[in-house]
Amino acid sequence: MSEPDPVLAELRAREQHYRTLLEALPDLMFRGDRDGTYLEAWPEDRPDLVVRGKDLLGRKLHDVLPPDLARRLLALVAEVCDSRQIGISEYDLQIAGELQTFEVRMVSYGSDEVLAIVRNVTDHKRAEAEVRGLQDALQERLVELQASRARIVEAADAERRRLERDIHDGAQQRLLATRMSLRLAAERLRRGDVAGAAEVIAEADRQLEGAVDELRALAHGIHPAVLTEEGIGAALEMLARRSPVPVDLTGVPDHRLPAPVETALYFVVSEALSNVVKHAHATTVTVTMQERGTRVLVAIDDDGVGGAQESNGSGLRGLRDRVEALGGELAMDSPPGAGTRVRVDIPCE
Amino acid sequence: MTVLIVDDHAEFRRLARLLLEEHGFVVVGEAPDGAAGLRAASDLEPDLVLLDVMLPDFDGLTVADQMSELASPPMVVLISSRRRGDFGPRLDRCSAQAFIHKGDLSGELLAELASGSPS
Repeated sequence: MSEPDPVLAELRAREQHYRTLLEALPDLMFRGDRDGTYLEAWPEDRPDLVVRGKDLLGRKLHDVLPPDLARRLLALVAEVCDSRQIGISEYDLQIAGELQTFEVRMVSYGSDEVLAIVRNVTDHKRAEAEVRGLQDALQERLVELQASRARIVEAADAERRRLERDIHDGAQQRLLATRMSLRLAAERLRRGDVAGAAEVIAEADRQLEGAVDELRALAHGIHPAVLTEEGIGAALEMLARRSPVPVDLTGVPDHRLPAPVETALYFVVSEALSNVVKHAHATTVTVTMQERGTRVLVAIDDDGVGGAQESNGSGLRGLRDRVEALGGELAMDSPPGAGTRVRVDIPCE
Repeated sequence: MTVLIVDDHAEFRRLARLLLEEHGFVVVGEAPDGAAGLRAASDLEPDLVLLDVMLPDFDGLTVADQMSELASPPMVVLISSRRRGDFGPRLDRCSAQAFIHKGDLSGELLAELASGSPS
């Protein structure tokens, strides 16, 4: 029995140390020469190895890998051997029917050999791509959101301008004329022309009546009283009654919905019906309302000529923004010759 | 005193004519826009022009400035259904002699303006 050799013991301890380190590393490791011959491979086996580690030894890159990749890696081996600098590359490899991505870091080892540390970065790449996809989708959504906000503000501004003009050109002009007529009546009375005064007072009365009518129509356009007082059911019934094209209305609720939902639904149906009258050449329209769980659905279908486009000033663009601001959706389907269907779906809690 | 009424609202022109005639003015012409107004002012040489600020073709302030360059320039009284403040400083720089809100128009007021010193 000889004494245990302390140098040998030290060596064994070191080998154990490095082996443990290697086992802890997630990477593949290869040593090879300038000709692309595998001299060492670690680990012995792993599902993402093309060939088991020990079966690699003595074989060349070209025996194991697809020709293009083998050529590329052989060029990298030569480059690293010559420059003695670290070489880094990335490649895809089909393993068991699945494309996997690897990153190789290669350093020169001795005179004409390299050590390659290969990391499987498939999951990392996949996650990266997923994050990029999400970022792109988010960015797209953000751009659309900003655009829709801008459109909502623009629509509100345009509406205020239209109101100002309508009031100025309509009711205000009639009220001005009323004042002038009354002043004229006063002048005539001052002169003792009673008949002449009565004549312009009657005129003033007609002008006032016109102003009142204009204001009523304007107020109705801003927000119909029946919607405020009686709710969406009564308001849709009123729209149906007033439509020149016969409307078959079903499913209106007998209870109130949240005010923003009622307003959005009212204006969508109102706009859709007015588009039917203006463009569809339809003989009948059905308006179907349905509450489904926490959502309310309304569909407006006509039997007209179809071929409507949301962008063609149908007024639906602005309404889509209004509906989407409530978390709802608006869709229009209008194949040429097959009628138009507008469908709106709004959460209602 | 002769008056020309330039305004695109026929109803306003009709009532303004009646009001002014009631007070002894002689309305010698009416025009529905700036171009016709300028022609009428040049042809008819009225003492006074009632001129709407917002005309369908030109803006009344420009028309007023052009009228002030006629051979015998009329007194120009701008009228509008908007308030003076709605027009900003451009109205102050205009050569028109006065501004009346349409609702305030009367023969009496116009007579006062015409006899007073131009402001």
